[in-house]
Amino acid sequence: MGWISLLAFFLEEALVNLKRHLVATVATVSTVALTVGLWTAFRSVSRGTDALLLWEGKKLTTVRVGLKPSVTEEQGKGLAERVQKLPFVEHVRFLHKDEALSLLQKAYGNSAAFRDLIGHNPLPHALVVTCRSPADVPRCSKFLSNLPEVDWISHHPQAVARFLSIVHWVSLVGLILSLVLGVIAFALIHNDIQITVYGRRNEIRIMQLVGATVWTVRGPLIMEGLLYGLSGSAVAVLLLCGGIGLAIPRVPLGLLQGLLSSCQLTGGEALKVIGMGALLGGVSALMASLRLVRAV
Amino acid sequence: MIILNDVRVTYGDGTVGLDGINLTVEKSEFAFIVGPTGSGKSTLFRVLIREVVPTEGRALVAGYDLTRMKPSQAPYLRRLVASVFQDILLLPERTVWENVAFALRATGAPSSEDKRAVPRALDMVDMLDKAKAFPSQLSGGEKQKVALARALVVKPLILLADEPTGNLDPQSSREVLELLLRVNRQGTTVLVATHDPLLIQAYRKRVIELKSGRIVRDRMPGVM
Repeated sequence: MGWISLLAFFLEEALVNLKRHLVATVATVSTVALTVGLWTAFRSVSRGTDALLLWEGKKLTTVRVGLKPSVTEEQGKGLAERVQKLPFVEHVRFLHKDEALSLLQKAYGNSAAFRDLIGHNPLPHALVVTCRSPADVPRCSKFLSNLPEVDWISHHPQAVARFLSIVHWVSLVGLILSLVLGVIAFALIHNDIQITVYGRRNEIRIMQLVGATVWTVRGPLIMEGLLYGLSGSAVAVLLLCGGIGLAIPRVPLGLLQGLLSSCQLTGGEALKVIGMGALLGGVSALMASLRLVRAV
Repeated sequence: MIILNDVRVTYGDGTVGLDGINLTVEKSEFAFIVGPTGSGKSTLFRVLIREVVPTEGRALVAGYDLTRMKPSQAPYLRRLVASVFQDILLLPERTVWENVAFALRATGAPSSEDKRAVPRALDMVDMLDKAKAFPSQLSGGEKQKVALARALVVKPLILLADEPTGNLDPQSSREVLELLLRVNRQGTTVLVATHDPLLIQAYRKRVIELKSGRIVRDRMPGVM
């Protein structure tokens, strides 16, 4: 009961102060909303881009493995089963040399060179290995090339390297931008709490004189920061979800709509962003109050 | 209730706030603390609520040993030793009721306690009829009465009033003093710091005079 009363007191005092300085409150909540909104929007776009990159990257996860001519069909199938058990391999398909020839004929048509091959197939059995991600391709091809049954390996090392570099930079830029925006939101709330401590100096002095503990004095300030973060991030999430939701049916079907759809936040993600905003506000206010409100 | 043994306060810059104070104040006693500005009256009060820790000596207040207690215990001491300081004004954007209730809630009392304790405290200082008024609508004397109610709402054992009549006209000063005496008659120990000689002469109470951080006179009631 004591804790509930105390929390109610913190909430009441924080709301009184937010209402009292309405202009400052609206300015801080708007700025936090803008910051959290930018951060969330960037994360969403980054996630959409990741999805797009992964979709593109799937084309790069295939490694073709030519087996030595001496390897029989049974030996090839046995090797396929062994390779399938590797942690970085998603799928392995054994490609019989007859099937390989038929695929080749389909690809190149009924040319003179293929007509000369009737009754004779120079191709070996092969494996088509699909790795879990493009990042696994170099490791997988290195492992396969060391196997005694393997004659040659075909994949796209340069394309994979380029793809991995793009993914790396997108992630890095995302991380840096997220950190910068997080620091901005943190500093904003921190600064606002400092102003609040100055504005509430009489309340704080009275609380200290009547016997409020140092945490009771800090409580409303921490609650205030929490409310800044909570309301700012809630506004940001509402605007983003609403904006994307309104935009999706208005853009033509295709890549842009797909990208927008993958940017849309789920309920869980929206709650996570709001929770993170509240946490950011709370921690920022906690640090400001620890620095500015000491036990006397 | 208050026992100070050879209490000395020296600030960081070497200034002496109190210089060997020996003082005993019994339960339900009323005393004036007098002396010129800088004599140590405010420092003495700040020691009694442990805003200032004695650098030497021993201080026992309301069962707490101020020189040995942990800083985290100070708020609990202040719930027993209430103070009314001249510079602490009322919160202008809150009503009289809210100003008093604020102090109560800050000590962790549930909101349901407001309805019982706030009217009692306001009634004690004859301000119940002004419960909905804002400080800007009150006279200086009325503001001081509300400040008293705010101090009394937590039912302290000791009340320290630092220059409670400093900015008041003679009539308001008398009213505030009468209230402090009424609080004292109900069992609260009251110490009033003042440098208004007329006020002291009008009431035959104990007078403790400070000068340069020392007690230079401790006159019991009835002794001229």
